[in-house]
Amino acid sequence: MADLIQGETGTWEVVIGMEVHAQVIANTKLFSNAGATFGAAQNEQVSMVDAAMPGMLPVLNEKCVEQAIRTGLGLNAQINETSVFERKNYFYPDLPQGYQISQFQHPIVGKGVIEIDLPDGATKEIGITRLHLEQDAGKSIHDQHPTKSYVDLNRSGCALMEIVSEPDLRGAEEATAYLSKLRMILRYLGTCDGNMEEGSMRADVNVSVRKPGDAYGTRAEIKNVNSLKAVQQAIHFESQRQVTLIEEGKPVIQETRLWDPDKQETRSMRSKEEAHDYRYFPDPDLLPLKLRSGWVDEIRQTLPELPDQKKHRFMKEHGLSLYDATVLIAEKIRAAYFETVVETGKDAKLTANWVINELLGALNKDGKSLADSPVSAADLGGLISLIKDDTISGKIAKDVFAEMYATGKQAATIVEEKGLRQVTDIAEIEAMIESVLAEHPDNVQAYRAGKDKLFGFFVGQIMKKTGGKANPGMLNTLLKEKLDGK
Amino acid sequence: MSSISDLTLDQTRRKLLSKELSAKDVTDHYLSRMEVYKSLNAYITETPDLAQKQAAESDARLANGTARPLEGIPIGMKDLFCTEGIRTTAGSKILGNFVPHYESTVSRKLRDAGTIMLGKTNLDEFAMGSSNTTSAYGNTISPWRRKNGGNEELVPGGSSGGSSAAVSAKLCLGATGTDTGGSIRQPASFCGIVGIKPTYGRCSRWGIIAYASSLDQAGVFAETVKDTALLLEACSGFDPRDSTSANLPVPDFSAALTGDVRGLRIGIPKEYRVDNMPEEIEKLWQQGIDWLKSAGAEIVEVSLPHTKYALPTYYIIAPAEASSNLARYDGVRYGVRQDKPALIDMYEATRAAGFGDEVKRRIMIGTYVLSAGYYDAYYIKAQQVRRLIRQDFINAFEKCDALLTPATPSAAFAIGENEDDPVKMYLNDVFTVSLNLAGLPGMSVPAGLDSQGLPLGLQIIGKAWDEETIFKVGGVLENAANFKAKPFQ
Amino acid sequence: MDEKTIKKIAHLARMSLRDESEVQQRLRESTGILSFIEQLQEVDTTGIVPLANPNDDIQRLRKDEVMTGEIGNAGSAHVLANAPEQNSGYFVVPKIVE
Ligand SMILES: [Mg+2]
Ligand SMILES: [Zn+2]
Repeated sequence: MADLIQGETGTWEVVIGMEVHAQVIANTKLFSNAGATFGAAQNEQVSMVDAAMPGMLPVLNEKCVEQAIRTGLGLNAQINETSVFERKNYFYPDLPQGYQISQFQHPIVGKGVIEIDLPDGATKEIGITRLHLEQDAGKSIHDQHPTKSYVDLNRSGCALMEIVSEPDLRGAEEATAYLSKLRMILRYLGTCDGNMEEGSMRADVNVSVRKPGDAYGTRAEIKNVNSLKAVQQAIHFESQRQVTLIEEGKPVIQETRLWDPDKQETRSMRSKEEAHDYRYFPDPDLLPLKLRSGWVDEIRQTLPELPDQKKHRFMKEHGLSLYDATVLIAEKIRAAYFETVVETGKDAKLTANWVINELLGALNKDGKSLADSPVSAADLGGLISLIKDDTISGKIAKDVFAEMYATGKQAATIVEEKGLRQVTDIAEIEAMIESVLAEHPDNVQAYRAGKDKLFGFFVGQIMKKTGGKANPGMLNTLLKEKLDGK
Repeated sequence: MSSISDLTLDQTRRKLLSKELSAKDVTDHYLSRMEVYKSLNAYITETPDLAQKQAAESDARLANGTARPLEGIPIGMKDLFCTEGIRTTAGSKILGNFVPHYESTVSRKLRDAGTIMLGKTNLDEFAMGSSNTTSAYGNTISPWRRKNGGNEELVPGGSSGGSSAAVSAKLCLGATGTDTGGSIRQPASFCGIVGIKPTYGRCSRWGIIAYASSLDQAGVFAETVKDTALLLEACSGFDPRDSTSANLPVPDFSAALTGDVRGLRIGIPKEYRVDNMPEEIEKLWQQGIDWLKSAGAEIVEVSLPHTKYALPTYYIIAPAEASSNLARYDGVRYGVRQDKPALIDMYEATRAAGFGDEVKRRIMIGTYVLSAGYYDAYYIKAQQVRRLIRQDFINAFEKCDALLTPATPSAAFAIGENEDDPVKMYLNDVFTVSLNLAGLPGMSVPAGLDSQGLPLGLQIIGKAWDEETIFKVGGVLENAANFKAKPFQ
Repeated sequence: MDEKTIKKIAHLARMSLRDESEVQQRLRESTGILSFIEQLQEVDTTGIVPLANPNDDIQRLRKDEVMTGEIGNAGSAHVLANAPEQNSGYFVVPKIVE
């Protein structure tokens, strides 16, 4: 599945590592009691601590630590009993303290691993290097004034988890699969809403190229890649740029590059980088974070079933295909919906079809999310029960479903009101067959002379007469008996 | 009226409670002394209106029986403590216009205990100095003079020099200080008053403008040991807003003043007998030992083998932390900005114009020792030695209950002396700085005069969280020394 | 330590140096202080764990509750009260160029 680049000198492999900044779901900031929600008026969610007023001190938010541990467990990672907050020193107007409180040498979460799902149905394990907690910066706004920048500190001090992967990804597809899976895990855990548009999940992409089997090449870190599409485009551009450089005999420089979505290119930020020497050292306002004993296990007890566990269980317990299982577990709410439907409808495969093809299809067309579905899981289960017990046919069910979706009524109600109950009385169906055969003696003769295709014609005529309500299985059997002259 | 300033803090408190004096009398008296001795430049900002308002409230409370522990006691507040609605400068030009919207925990506790704030006292810029000569608001001048007739102006010590001068000159009854390497104990010693730095974590650092966060600790000055006990009790205690504040009950410090040190083991660290120690200091130290011995204490020699490395360790850790703590003074959210069209020029000009020389020196060193390639050799090394220094104390305290040392290597020096070489100035803290590295409490008690008639202090060092033993020993030393010398004589 | 280092450090610390004489002054002072702190190198610290803070306590954790006032939402008026330049609720700085 790996992206390979065909260069002048042969085939190149694209090696990707990701650094994802995920905003922690919490009421307040990492080190202050100011609110941490998105969208407040400028500088209204700012404490004196976040504005780095003289004499202000950080106090660590318990919830953020818990969320980091929870995420670490979800990434199958080592939780470090002791971790240390350090200061990363640099000047920037949206960094009020003149340093970012982060974790450097001793992060709260160490090595882990997650499984990504590739488009061809294969899966691959991707190593997690570490996860650490750190403060977000504020926002600088450059387009309000010709010679000034404006600074809003609402985001300043919000908690981020920086999740660093091993360079295990090969190319853009794996990179986006990784981001999707990571996002899914965070959302399952309830530790980050994964909203890339609002910036609550941001990715820096480390790209290098090499000939397969060679040692890793020099990497460039690409910033400002704010969507899955941008990740793909940036990787395609950057890897090609590096291959061209190397093949021209020029070196790849280890540097930070900025993705420019307008020009569709990455460009060097070296001028900014030069002066950087972050001078990390342990924050003397904070003591080493030692997790109280038993805490990690308590959190472990409250972990939800995670996407991969759920996927494997759906395949095993419900007999679903990998594809169906993968689609259904993509969102926690979707998987839960599916399972509720199965409880009522008692047919997992049928349910999977209905949820994926009918329900999600309809919602998708309307731009709605499952949370706003007009058809509840119990009601869809009701519809499926009607199919299962032959009250209606699958074909009729589609009409019923459309009605349910439009009106919010229950399937049984619609079936009763519209008299859609399937005809399952043998005598009634036989009578219907007799009358249709009598109306088309030529076709009966032609069929019997070997024109098999006419079978469908008869079915259609009978269905027309019954308004589609004849039980298709019974109709097929009985019609065949009649035509074959038994 | 001159009798009011003859009283100690505790005596004034009693007279206020017995209504022999009103808070208004006391406050007006101290405000008028502040006028008379303005030339000492002990205060950066005087707050007479606030003081009079607070005095009226105190008198009301004294009258209706709701007096708080230090009701009506006028104090000075080091201008490093943020005070709501009152300019707070840290002795720096860069904060020349800064008015906080919050009150530091220590100043709030003192206010809530009934004290009256007379003003914000002068200090070395960002508390970096041992002479109060690095203040952007001018030198504070010690009320003391040498008796050689030369009449040079002397330093009050630093960095809390405004506070020590103010207490010594009776421009307030007590004052706050902060002590990062000796900034309470050294000025107390220079000004002939008592100064105590409690255990790191005893007083909240919330709202105190940071110099070096792992070393900074608030404390108090007053004329007597008892007075400092009363003040320290009022401003100590757990603060959930400071992650390094200790969640421990505050003992009744003045109750520790039993006058009884019988059986206490007092350690004498042999490494404090430094080269070139003036004979007067040596003599005073021996005197202190004799006083405690005759009061029934047991004297034991102890060893603090890493003592000589304390100053170099300090001059790595403190500047490193300071270089980062002072990064926030960038002209963006507060402070005096130098306008420039380009951001980086604004930063560089603002900080170059806003900081004085000593601050720049320390920021330069601090930035250097943290920078790539030097971090391990300097910063990590210093932190390792810091642990060794703390371990020295832990070992010594297995053999004794408190330590006795000189507070300073000399008496106060003249303004301008020691300024040719920063390292020479740094040597002032040679006896005080290890305590900050180890987080231990220490007190300077005036114990005698040098040949020029200038005060000299002895330092008592306690175990972590054992300020009570310090007060006990301090009280005994105070009695024995019977230090009666006053400035302006 | 040399002049180049002094200039680099001053730039890292965002403090402009007035002129060549200030460069020389800073170099002199820094060299003096560095040679003073150099004596630490004679201490054997093999295996000694660095001590960052004398307080050995465990990091306390705070409840995740939104508050108003100093350590919570302080209100933009208070946050901006000391700002050298502000506009429409924002801090204002010279244009940032990347
Ligand atoms: Mg990073
Ligand atoms: Zn980060």
